[in-house]
Amino acid sequence: MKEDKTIVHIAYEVAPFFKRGGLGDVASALPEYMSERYDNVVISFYYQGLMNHFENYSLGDFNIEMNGIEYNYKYYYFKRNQVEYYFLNMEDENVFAGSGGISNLNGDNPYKNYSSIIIFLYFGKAVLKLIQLKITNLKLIICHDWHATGIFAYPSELKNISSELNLKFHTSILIHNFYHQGNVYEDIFPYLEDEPLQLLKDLYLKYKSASLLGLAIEQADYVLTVSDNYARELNEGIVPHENLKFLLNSNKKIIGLQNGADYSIWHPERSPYLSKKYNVGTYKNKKFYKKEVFKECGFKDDNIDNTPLILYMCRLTEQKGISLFIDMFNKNQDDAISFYEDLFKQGVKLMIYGNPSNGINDKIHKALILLQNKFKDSFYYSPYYNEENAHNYLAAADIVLLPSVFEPCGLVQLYSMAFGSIPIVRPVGGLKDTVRCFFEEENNATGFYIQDFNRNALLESIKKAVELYKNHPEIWEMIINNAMTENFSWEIKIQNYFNFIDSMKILETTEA
Amino acid sequence: MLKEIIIFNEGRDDINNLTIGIFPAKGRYYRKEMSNNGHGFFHVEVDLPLGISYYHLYINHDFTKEYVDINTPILGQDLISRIPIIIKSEIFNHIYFENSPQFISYINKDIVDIKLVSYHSWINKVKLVNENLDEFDFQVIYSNKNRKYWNLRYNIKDDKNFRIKFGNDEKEYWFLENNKASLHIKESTFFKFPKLPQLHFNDNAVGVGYQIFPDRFCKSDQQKENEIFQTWDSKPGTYSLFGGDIKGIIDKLTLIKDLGFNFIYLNPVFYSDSAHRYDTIDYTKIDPILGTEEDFKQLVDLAHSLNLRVILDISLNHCNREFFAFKDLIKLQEKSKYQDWFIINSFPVSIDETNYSCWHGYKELPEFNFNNLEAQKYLIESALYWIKKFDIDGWRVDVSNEIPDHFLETFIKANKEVKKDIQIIGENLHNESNDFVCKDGGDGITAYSLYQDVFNSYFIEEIVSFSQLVHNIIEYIYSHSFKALKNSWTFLSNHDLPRFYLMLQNKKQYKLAFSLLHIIPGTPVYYYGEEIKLSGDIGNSRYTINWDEYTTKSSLFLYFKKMNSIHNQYHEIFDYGNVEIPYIDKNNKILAIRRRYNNKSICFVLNFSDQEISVNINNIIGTDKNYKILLGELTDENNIELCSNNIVIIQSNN
Repeated sequence: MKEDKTIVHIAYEVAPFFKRGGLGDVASALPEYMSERYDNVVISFYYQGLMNHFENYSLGDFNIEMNGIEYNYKYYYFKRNQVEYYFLNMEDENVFAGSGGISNLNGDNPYKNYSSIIIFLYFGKAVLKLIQLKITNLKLIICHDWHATGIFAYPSELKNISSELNLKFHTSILIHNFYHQGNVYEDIFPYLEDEPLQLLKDLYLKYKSASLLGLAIEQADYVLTVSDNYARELNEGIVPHENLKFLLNSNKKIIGLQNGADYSIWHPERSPYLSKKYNVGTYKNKKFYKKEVFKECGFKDDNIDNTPLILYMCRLTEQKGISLFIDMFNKNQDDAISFYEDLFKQGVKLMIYGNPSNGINDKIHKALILLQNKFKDSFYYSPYYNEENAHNYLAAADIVLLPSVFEPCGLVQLYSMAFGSIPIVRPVGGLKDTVRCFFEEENNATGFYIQDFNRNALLESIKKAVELYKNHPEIWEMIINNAMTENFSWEIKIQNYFNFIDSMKILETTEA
Repeated sequence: MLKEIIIFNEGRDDINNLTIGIFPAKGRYYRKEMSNNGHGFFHVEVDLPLGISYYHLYINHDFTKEYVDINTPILGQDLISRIPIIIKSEIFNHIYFENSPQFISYINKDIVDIKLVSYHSWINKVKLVNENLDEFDFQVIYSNKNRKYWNLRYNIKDDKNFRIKFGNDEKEYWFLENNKASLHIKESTFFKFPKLPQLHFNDNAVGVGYQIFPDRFCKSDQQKENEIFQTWDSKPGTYSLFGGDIKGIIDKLTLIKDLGFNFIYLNPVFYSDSAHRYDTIDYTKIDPILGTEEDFKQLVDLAHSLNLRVILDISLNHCNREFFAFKDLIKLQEKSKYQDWFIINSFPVSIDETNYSCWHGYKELPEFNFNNLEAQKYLIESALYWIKKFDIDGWRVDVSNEIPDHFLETFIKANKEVKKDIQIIGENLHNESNDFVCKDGGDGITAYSLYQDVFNSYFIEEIVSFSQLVHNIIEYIYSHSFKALKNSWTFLSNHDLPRFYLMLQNKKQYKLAFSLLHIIPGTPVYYYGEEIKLSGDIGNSRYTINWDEYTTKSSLFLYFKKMNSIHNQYHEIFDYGNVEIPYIDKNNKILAIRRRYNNKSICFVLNFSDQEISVNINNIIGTDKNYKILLGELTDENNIELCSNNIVIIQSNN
């Protein structure tokens, strides 16, 4: 049954229009699955010259005043499936496209702030105006991560919406990653409008530091995040993030709502990119992809069945554990080299796939190239991420590594289980919620844990997994079976969101 | 502002304690114990000023070894391997301008240089409006995406106030003081021109300098042999002493002059017991190993007769434990009349306990208490002694950003009262010139940010693209006042950095990098031996020069000579000219940087690529037909021939 209520999502990126990480996937899937019960509107940035799948839109515009100047904002509107989309751009078309590190596309450290927080405030103010103009029956606003929290800097406008539309609605911040939070320093104060200035100053006086995420945590009705375990870690203050004080002092309890996987695409039976589809009954088809990948990487395939292919696929950042694969400060990679020597003694092949942090000019890329040249026979690295390759590599891999320092939810482990490639993960954040370790729950196992964050521990876990792979195929098959029959689909996970909304005790429209 | 620093350490169970060492953007270094939160990470909260601060780490209270991360020790005198903590916002406003020396400063007593940045691409006009409502256009010197960098040279005559107007053909706004804008002029809002500071505009005060590390530069024939000296030309260790001396420097002065330098800068020469001599025992005595006061007098006199200025290095922040006042303190303890010269945590003061404030935790280097007037007076009197008696021309103030402003101000004022055009340069690793130059009255800083963001990141680490390189050069220029830019020392290596040639990735770009030193506003300071690509290792750039093999015939030597002679001949342009980017070709990595002053300009056309490329000269200098090629050549009358990794210099009259 569908309610005549609208959920507004504000996000920095939305797949497939513009996406650089898991945030874009979730911002795309969540509204679609929520459409079962509510109307959903997504408001995002329009990135001049960088948008995909963008057709049949209609254009509109409105003006807002910022620091004494009227600005014209354009929006691109269309409806896809059941979701309505608005992509906002400033009159000055390149402002957003030049923001947030997009100017540095090959340098994929996307959620770090490379541009002024003022741009995100302007965006927030424009979003509020758009809501005022276009949205009826608003029930809940979900701001995805700190880039979307500019609205909280204008509480008077939020109030206006409520009184003009004559309804009460709720606001929430959905934290995909607490690591990046839009830090605010004093030197920006002279450039802020009065209302944001007052709020951020107050925050600064209270904590001697301020961020847009901190402001959102203080102002939003609800603070959400993407897995139970990450919520627990945040509530207990045991994740390596700064400024947890914003949360811990707010007396708001952060609520964990597990992300789903979009199996309409990320499934070996439905993948638009796999030529030879397979499922839990026919997973031996994986060998076809493995052979292809061996060819692509230039690996000898004479003993392919007994040579596990290990895949490490993610944005190659420190959060994802890249420092285990290279020596961050040592150009000669001495320590990393001995790790690879030990690793390849196990008779495995390793593939590293993903956009390197800070791009191909930076040290991560350079170190990986150096290591690849040294271990050509067993090691392949490719820095240019796209989804087609991602699907094919997942299909080919026997083992997928996720040695993250922290992991709010993680999607790659969900995908890898669906594709029958066994995840070896650090039991942190969402990884712990979604992967069951063979050494803890043998018969129900879907993967392996890496106990400590260091190369030895990583190597140990790989060794144990490889031992099972090579010597106990029946056990390996059981793990594959378990993994492939796990179900993290959005169809199921969306229920958590519905339960949350039901629990909100929304004050419905109030007639005066 | 409070900043949390988190170091991740799951799995290394040999680490029980982590201590963080903080280099604040302003103020003294300090250490703080990190708390181990038991979930694989260490945590600490520190209070930091705005700007770029740095940190490093110590493991398990072993303060002999510094780390950048828990697995990576710092080698030798590596100043660059520290982790930056950036407390600085990206500004975004229609116009970025403040009525402060960073944006507006005098270049002589009539003309002000005004810089500002606009962030919206619709803005294509910016004007200064004077009291009579006459309008003067700013010029765009560089633009990148939405951002434009503007500049205006304005003759202020008797003007007191000004306004700024910006916009496009359709509408114009007045820029208001609180960073707002208005369509209508507000009578009460205007900016006041800064009062003419009591600056001395001395043309001789800049030029190009040559840095000498006295122990390693040249050992004269008169130097007495000493068993503690290591063999000249052997590889130096941390404590090696080679016996280079002042007479040795005197021997080479004409050579330095011949290379075209305007001043020499000597690392410390005062009495000390180390090779670097930053730990002064006596501030009023030349180290006897280097020579006598008479030798030094002779050096300064000869230098002056060659029109070379002499700049000394002074370590005001800390001294040697053998310094008389500290020695007295150790001996007499509470009874010492010098106890307040230092910062003492508890008595008895003991070298073993290190219960006194010392530089970066090194007990060998007790730090002065700058609230003590006697200590202040002693240091100032000692400095003035060298000006009064020897007529030296300037100071490089070691670790100036760690010394409180009130003392720097007094120190600089006292020096300038005795010699008004004395140059005072502050060592600063944090890119903060504004306090030292605009508040304390210093002349410039050591431009480490230019080294980091331009030379290190493009030529050494190769972590920035060509277009980012250009952006970084412009950002450097726009983050300092004109005065600070002009006087600040720019360099490719020094005694605290590895040799540039050793680190340079593409060795063919050595000359190119040096040419950038000249065309970017600043005072280039060459480090001894750069003219012969003197070797070194990553942790040590203080090797000796082998004078038997020294050649003045190499193409490099001649290139430096040529570059310096162009710099001298057109020094007004290099000193006072504004900066423009008349031409940039990002695909072929061609960049032209022009400096212009009084309708004369010098343009460097630089080819950063490995290919030979020819560029139409009209793209670079416009219509002037009376241009001169000072370096390089033309393929024909319309085209400049740019060899790979090479440079052409053009002088024109527009």
